[in-house]
Amino acid sequence: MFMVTYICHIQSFNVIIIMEEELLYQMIGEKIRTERRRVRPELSQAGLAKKLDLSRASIVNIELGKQRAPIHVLWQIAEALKTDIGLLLPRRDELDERNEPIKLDAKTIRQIEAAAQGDAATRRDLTQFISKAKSKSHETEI
Amino acid sequence: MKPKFRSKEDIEAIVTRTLQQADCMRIPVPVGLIAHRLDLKVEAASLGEEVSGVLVIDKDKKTIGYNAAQSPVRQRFTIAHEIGHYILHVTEKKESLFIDKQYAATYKRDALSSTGDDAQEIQANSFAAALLMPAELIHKELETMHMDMGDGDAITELASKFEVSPQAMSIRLGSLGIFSS
Repeated sequence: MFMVTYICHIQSFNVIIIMEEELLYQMIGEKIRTERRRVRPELSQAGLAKKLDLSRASIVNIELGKQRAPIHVLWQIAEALKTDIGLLLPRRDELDERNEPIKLDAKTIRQIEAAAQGDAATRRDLTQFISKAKSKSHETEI
Repeated sequence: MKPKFRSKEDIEAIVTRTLQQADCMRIPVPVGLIAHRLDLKVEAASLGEEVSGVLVIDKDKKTIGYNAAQSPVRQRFTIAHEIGHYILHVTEKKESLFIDKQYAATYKRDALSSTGDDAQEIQANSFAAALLMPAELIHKELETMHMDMGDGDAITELASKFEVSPQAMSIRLGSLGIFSS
C-alpha cells in the first residue's frame, strides 16, 4: 500500500518536472527573441548566430525552446544583445501563469489535439490560451 | 458540418456591410478596431509554430488570439480571418472554437476537400482578403497610381499601402479580375 502510493507520487512528480523544464526553455527562447527585437531590432537570428559562432539553426531552435542553451551560451547571448541575463529568464510567477492546470471539455480537447498533432508545445500553448479565454468569462459572471 | 453556401458576391457584400457598420472603410483597414466594434477581444498569443490564430467564443466572452511570432502582415490576415469565422460561422450557440493553422486551406485542400471544415476555411480566407483589401478602395488606389499593373513593384507598393503581403495582394487582384503579373 505504501509502496504504491510512493510510486504514484514519484511519477506525478516527474511529470510536473518534465512539463516545467520544457516550458522553461520555451519561455527562455521567447524572451531571447523579445529582447533581440526590442534591444537590437537590427540584429537578425543569422546576425546573432554569427556573433556567437553558432549556426542560424541553433539560434532558431534556442528561440523556439527546442534546443537548450547552456549557461555560457545564454550569457553570451545576453552580452551580444547588451542586455541582462536575468531578463532572459522567466520569473516564477510567469512560469506558473503558463503552467496553470485547467479543465476543458472533451470536444475542445479533441480540437486542440487535432491542431497540435502531437507537438507538446503547441498543445500546451493552445490549452493555456483557450482556457484563459474561457475562464475569464466565468470570472466576469461573479 | 457543412457551412451555408456563400458565393463570392455574398462574401463581398457581407464584408462591405461589416466595414461600413464599423466605419472602417479606409486603408490600411484597421482590423483591430473592427474586432473591437464587434466586441471581440484581440490578444497576442504564443501558439507554437503551426497555429496562426484561434477564435474562442464562450457565452459573452469573445476572444481572438493571433500568433505573435508571425509577421505583422500575417497577424493582420489572421485577425481578419478570425473575424470572418465570427461573422460567417458562429451561430446562436453559446460556445465555439476555431483553431487555424497556417495555409491549411491552400495547401491541404485535397486532403480536406470532402469536409465542411475546408469550406469554412476558404470562406474565412475570402472574407479576410476582402476585408483587408476592399474592392472599392483597391479601385480607388489603382486610379491614382501611375505604374503599370504588370509591374511587380506596383503590387509591392499596393501591398504596403494596405499592409498585406504582396502574395495576398496578388491573389486579391487576380480574384477581382484585375490583371496581375
